[in-house]
Amino acid sequence: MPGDSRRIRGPEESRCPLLYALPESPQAPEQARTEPRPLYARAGLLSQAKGSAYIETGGGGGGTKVLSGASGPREAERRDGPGLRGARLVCEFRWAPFARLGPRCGVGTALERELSLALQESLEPAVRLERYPRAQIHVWVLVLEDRGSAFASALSAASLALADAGIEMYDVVVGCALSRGPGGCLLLDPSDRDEGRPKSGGCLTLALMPALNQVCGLLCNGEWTEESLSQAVRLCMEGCHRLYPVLQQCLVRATKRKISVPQSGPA
Amino acid sequence: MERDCCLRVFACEQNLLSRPDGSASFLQGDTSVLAGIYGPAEVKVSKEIFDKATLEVILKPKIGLPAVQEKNQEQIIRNTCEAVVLTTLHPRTSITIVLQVVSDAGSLLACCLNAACMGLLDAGLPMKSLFCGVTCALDFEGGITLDPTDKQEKESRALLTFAIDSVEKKVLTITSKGSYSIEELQQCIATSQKAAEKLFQFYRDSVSRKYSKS
Amino acid sequence: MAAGFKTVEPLEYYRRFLKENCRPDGRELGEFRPTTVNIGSITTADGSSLVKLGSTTVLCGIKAEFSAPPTDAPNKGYIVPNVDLPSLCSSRFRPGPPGEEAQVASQFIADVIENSQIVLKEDLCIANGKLAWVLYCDIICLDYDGNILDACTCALLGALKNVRLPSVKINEETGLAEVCMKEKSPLKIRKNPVATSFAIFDDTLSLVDPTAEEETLATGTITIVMDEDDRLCVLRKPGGSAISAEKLQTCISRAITRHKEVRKLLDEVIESIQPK
Repeated sequence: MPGDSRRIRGPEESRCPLLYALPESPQAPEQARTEPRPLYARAGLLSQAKGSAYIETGGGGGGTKVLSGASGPREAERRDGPGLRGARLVCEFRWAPFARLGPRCGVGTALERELSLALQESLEPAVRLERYPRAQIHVWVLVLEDRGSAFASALSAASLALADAGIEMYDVVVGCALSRGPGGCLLLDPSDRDEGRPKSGGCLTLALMPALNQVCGLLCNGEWTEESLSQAVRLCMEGCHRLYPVLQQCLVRATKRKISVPQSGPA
Repeated sequence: MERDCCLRVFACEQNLLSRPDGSASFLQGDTSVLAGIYGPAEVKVSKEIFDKATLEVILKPKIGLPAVQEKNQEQIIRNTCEAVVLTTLHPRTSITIVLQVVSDAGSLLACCLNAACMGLLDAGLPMKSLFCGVTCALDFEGGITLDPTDKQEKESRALLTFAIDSVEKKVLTITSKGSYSIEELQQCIATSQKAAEKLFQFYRDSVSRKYSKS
Repeated sequence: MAAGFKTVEPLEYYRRFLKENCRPDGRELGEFRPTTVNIGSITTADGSSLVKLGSTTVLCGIKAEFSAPPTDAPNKGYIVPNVDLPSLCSSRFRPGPPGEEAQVASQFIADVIENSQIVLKEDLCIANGKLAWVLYCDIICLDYDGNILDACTCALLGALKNVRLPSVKINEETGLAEVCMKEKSPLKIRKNPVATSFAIFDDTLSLVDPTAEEETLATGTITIVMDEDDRLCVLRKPGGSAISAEKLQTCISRAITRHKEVRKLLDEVIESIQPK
């Protein structure tokens, strides 16, 4: 790895101790659930980023924790491509090395790059890019702990950060994930245990703009019938609508805090 | 306490490279570092500072690519040079110091600092004072060895490197390895301040030799 | 008015405050920002801690893995610290591989571990010459408002104190390791290094726990790492204003009191999360 000389190196090879763990009694898969796990959201918590948001879902023995920051609009570095008419949205999605159970994850994996692109494509329809010609807007998402449905939380956190940064948007994007368990039962907002089950029949992550009721992103894998897929999409959309008020309130609270504390001294 | 306040044999040659604006090679015992200084020269727009020169230090290890350790030392050397070079006299320019390790036989950082200072002197850059690097090794009995060799470094309990300025003999830079008490730190500072006098005398001699030749 | 003055003449703005022996954020020169520590919040890591110094926020997560011990030291394990400064935490950092500041911070943390001997590498060996623990200590800065070295050191110590390693037996027949995730034991923490940083202003004044703004305006910085026996583990003064031995002594005295403060704080937090 070329970047290796810029990090402190450990041994050539190391293995995760879970591989050597004595087999535990398998836990029963969770039954079909049509409600997302409880969600806590807070916007405007970072001092240096222009906009920021933190989302925690689950809880009780560990939940998914996602931190997002947004900056911009600033002058575009690249002067070519589609950025001339509207702003370029640059997204970065990554896991902290210790965010997942099992082996420590490296940086810059193909999956991270793929999801960064998916994040960008899902947020683009919601941001009024044409209002910021020749500019670029950065969004970073860092998963601190992944207990399932991290990308869905990342979508919500990123759009909250953009809104907190004062970027003009049509609507807040809400993400919601779903996995199909054994026997075809649909589980909304799965935990990492259910996501990682080898026999799970597929996963789906949906991004929705609830006020417009428009889907702006859909990631899906596994084999689905037309019927089950449409049911899954419907469930996810319902899930997004349930989360929407929580995110709205979080933005209102963040704005109130900003108004009550003037930014810098007496004007 | 002090066994000996003596440094290894040191030697210095200035202006030995033709391409850079200033150059010096500094020898301390078997440790040797070659320095090349470029500047004041044009600076990249992204690195330009509007009210002073941009100082850059590149430290090349003897073998292999520069790693985290070298980056750390680069920063230390750069900040030390920035403290004495009057960068405000050359705004919007770049000063680049390239240090090539020729051989490492202990007290490498001190030798790099010395080579950088002699190089800056040779390049004729305006400085408010000179500086020199001194390494002290503390052994298990609490004795101080100045300018240790690599073998002495390995046997030592703690290793401290200082950069000392020539005007007030104050400490510009401190880095250390190992743990030591506050009294030991103060002793090391006092010892290296004494050693610095010798080094500055050597600086003076070698520069006057250079000018008497030409 | 004040905001405009601050933008145009930041240094003069600071000097007016420092003349009255206080700082724009209301602190005295020797006063730290409020420090909060949260230990064990990341359940996917083997040990974790989140440290806040004012708005500077640093998260340290430790993952333990198996590896063969180094060939030159068959009775030792590894500790691999890395500091990450993502562009999320401040606009001054570019995305991509670690920049100079991140590398310098990584080296600093490595020096703290090596010099203070927080954890003996011998304690990490499971079977001599065969199997040892590797502790990957990843420190991520979430919000950069100055003085990350102090925050990183504190986060590292908190996370190391939180590490619970599963018990490992070597199966004599197969020679393979068997891990029991139910039995977990803490690491033996030998020393408690605590860092204290100062920014030197106008070559004379030293401000403890500088913010990002103070760091950029300062003419030099000093970081002192002390352990509980009042010994110095790391003393880092990378250039900048020259300092006299007396001035250094006052900084060290402040570092000693800071050590006690942080030690007490960490002990309280660990006490509070202890299962009863």
